[in-house]
Amino acid sequence: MTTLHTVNKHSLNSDLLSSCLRVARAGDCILLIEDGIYNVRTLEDLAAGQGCELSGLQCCVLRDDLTARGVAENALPDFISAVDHTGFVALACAHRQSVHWF
Amino acid sequence: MKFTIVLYAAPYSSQASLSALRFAQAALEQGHEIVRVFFFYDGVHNTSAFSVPAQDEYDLVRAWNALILEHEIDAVSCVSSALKRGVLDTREAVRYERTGGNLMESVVLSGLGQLVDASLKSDRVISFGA
Amino acid sequence: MTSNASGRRNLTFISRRSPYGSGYAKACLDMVLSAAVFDQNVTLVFMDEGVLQLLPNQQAGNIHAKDLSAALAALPLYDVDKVYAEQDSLTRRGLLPDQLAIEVMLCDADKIAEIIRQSDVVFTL
Repeated sequence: MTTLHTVNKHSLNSDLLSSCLRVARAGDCILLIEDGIYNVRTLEDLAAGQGCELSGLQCCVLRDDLTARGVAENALPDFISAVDHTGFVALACAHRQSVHWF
Repeated sequence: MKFTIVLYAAPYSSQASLSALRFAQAALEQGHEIVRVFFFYDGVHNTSAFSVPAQDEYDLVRAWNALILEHEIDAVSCVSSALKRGVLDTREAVRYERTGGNLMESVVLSGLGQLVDASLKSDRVISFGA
Repeated sequence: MTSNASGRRNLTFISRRSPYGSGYAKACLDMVLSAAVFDQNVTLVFMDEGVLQLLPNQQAGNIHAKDLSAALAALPLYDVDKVYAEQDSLTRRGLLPDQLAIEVMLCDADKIAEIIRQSDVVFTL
């Protein structure tokens, strides 16, 4: 059984993502929302620094929050996909638990 | 799926309220059910009918009210969170001798037991905060 | 997921904030106690700044607040006995397990991940 994690703050401003990465496990999804979208630039390095394996995690970002903040979807790293709110709901359905880091 | 949505943050002070509203809208559009929206902690500020946003600002409070009424969602504001933050229904306003109640018409004041109850009845509990 | 016949679910609360500076720590405890009163299977995990709720000798009256650690001491009265603190969070903040205001079980991130997997609902504050 897998978990959807949402993270709404930048890792340079908060330890939310760091804590999320500590307890996320293979099969889980991390969805970056609100100011958490800024993590698209820092997620890979942060995970590496913590010895966290990202390859088993699904990493997503909420599209409207990304574009609202001037971060281009086509600049996303390959392992992060943008979803809309319909996709957010679908992720919530797909994962049995959800942990909301805010 | 049956969803409960918990909102801990006030409108406008963060994006949480809008995020929660948009999640709720998307879930309903896809045919899911919202068992309850539970406004807790600063989230109770979303249920004050006294909110007057600027003319060019999105009216979050009225948007919540409209969503709740349109879909007949059971919406609860935590009474202890609400009272101390000055969100009262008419009955509490009379009880505590305040000049008037300001609770949005579509919401009732109740206790945390309603959140526990919603958690038992829902497939997913989705939380938004700041 | 549906409740079992007795309407009892595994509700987990992850308390991440220090006391008094924000109201979240108290709000989390209020939720824990409500869940316990409604006879749910409650697990409470202190991690990150949340472990600071476990500091002894809190004199909250000095700031017109109710002593949160005293409220935590009442957890056993509500039959909340699955109370964990993340070891790393304690260590980073210079807290020793035998100097905490209440008895807790120490855990690591793997245990927290396991607790999450076994939960029906997780509240993170």
